[in-house]
Parts: sequence; C-alpha cells; structure tokens
Amino acid sequence: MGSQNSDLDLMAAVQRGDASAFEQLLVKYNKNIVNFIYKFVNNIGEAEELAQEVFLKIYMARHSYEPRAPFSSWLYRIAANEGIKAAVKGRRLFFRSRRRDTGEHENILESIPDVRQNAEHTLAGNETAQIVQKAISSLPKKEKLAIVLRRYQGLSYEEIAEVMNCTEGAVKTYIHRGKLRLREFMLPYIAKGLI
Amino acid sequence: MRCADARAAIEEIVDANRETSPDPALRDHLNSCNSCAEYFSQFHRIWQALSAYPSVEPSPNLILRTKSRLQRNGSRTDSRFSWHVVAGWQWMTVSACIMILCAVLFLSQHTSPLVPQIDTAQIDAADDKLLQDIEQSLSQLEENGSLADYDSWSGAYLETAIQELPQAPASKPAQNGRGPL
Repeated sequence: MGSQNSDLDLMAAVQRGDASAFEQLLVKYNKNIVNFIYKFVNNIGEAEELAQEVFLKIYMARHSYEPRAPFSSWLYRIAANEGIKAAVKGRRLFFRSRRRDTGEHENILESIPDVRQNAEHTLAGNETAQIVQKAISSLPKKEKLAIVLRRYQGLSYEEIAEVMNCTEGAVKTYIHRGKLRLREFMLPYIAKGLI
Repeated sequence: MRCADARAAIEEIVDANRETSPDPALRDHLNSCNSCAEYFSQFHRIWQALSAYPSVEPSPNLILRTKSRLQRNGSRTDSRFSWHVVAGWQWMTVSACIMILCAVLFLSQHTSPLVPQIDTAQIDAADDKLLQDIEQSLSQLEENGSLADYDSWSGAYLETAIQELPQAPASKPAQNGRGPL
C-alpha cells in the first residue's frame, strides 16, 4: 500500500509536469516490465523495445490516468497488451516463414520437438529453466497472463482482475486452469526427477 | 474432508507459497489420502520450479534510451496532446456542426442540375419587348386605318361563321312541366 501511495504521488507529480518523478517510476519498474514482456516474446532485445513503447504510452497518456486503480495495474495492462500483440505477431511470422520454407501447410506444432517424448535426452543449458519456459509458453494467453502476473509479478487477485479487466473469480479460474495445464505438461519430467 | 475440497484447498496453499496447511482437517486428509498427498507434492514442486524461468537483466543504457525517446516524442506531441485532452469530443462536435452548416449553405446556393434554372429577369425583358412590338404595330395600323378594317373584318368573319352554324332543334317542353333535369 505504501508503494502504491508513492506511485500515485509520483504520477500526480508527472501530471504536473515533473519529469524527475516519471524517471523514478521508470527506474522502479523498468526491470519488472522487461522481464514481464520477455515471458511473452522470449527475446530480450524485443522485450526492451516493447518496454520502451510501454513507458512512452504511459507518458503520453499521463493526463488521462485516474488513481481509481493502482498505477501498477495500469502499467501491467499496457505491458500485457504489448507483449501479447508481439507474441501473436511473432507466431504469425513464424508460421508464415515455415509455410514458405516447406511449401506445404504442415501442422507447425508437430514440427516443434517435444522433449517430453525423450525426457532422458540431455538438454543444453539449464534443463529445468527450458522446461519451465516451454511449459509457460504452451499456456493459452489468458491463463498465461494470470499465472505470470500472480507467480512472477506478485500481483494480488484484485490487481490481476484490474489488469485483465475481469472479475477476481475469473482470475482464480484462469490460474486454476493454468496450473492444471502446467501439471499435465510437467508430469513426465516430475516422474523422471527433472523437476 | 472430501478429495475435491482438499484439492481446492491445496491450490490455495500452493498459491500462497506455503509448505504446509494451517487447516488441521486438510493435514489429516493429506496424511490419510495418498492421491491427494501426491497431488499436493506435484503442485508444490511445479509452483516452486516456475522460479527457474530465466530472469533477464535489461541493458545498462535502457533507461537512458527510454528517456531520450520520451524527450523526442514527448516534446513533439505534448502541445497536441494537451490540446486534445482539453478539447476532446467538444472540438469534434463543433467541427461536425460547422461542416454540416457549410454543406447546407453550399447546397442552398447551388440548385440541382435536374431543376431547370428560370431566369425571370430575361423573361420579363422579353415580355416587355413583345408588348412594345405589339403596341408599335397597333399604332402603325391605327395610323394607316388598317385597324378599323381589322376590327370590322373580325366582326364580319364572326357574323358569317355564326350564320353558317347548323340550327339547333327546338327543345320540347317536359310532360310533367319540369325541365329536362
């Protein structure tokens, strides 16, 4: 709550034209937003570009901000939109290029290697990190958004509901379904002791 | 405690990052139900494993780049933005009304090409000219005495025409004393 009050005070100062107040918000949330968007695009360069877009949009819309909801909810809502849009765009480009390369409309999902088929295969780098990254990427966008906001950004159900523009009950449902999908994805790795 | 209730409670514990449940009924159930105990173990491990998602460190100059971009875009659009914020829909409404008014004025001054233009001034001038010509002709006729001949000619013509008309039969009086109607 103390943090929220300070965010509201900083935004009020920004609306009055205080550029240093916005810089404080930028420093405070920069890393969080980059990591949040990274979970959608899986590319740090793109995540940084999109984070800039987010802060630019926040700054341009500073006069329309009303402190009915926490500043972080507003910030994450804009960041979520940017991240999801970029993820959808990236997926479309990927499918289009694959179709161009193969010359046929193959089911692209079947061409992505499924490490679950051979759980004993040694993965390069941190195996658990790769498994978790793949598991999170496999979630539908709303479940993924709810899980990421809850698990990684530490938002409350109320704040997540503000970001997603839905009820707290809907947020709990998304998180519940997301967990069930994660469990289904990771069970083979749990059985092999990789998780 | 039923397994369905236990599993719902397990998710809440996992969500809160707790290792054990504060609810003694759930603890007793987990101690006695292997399936739910396994369920709890799996969810706990999954939720903890999510911490392994790689965290990225933004570039050291990202904040500087963001600030310079804000300065570039902010100064260019600030005045427009504040104007937009102040005016908003009011300006759009006023602009729409002005455009509608201009359209009405334009249409009222320029009639449709399907409706023929009637130049009354030209017609009046032509009528005046015709009347002048008639007056002039009549005065000429009067001077040389032709007008009297014309008048008499028209009268004689009419008398002759009347005489040549077939005589209408005399109407019989009605038997009941009333007229034809």
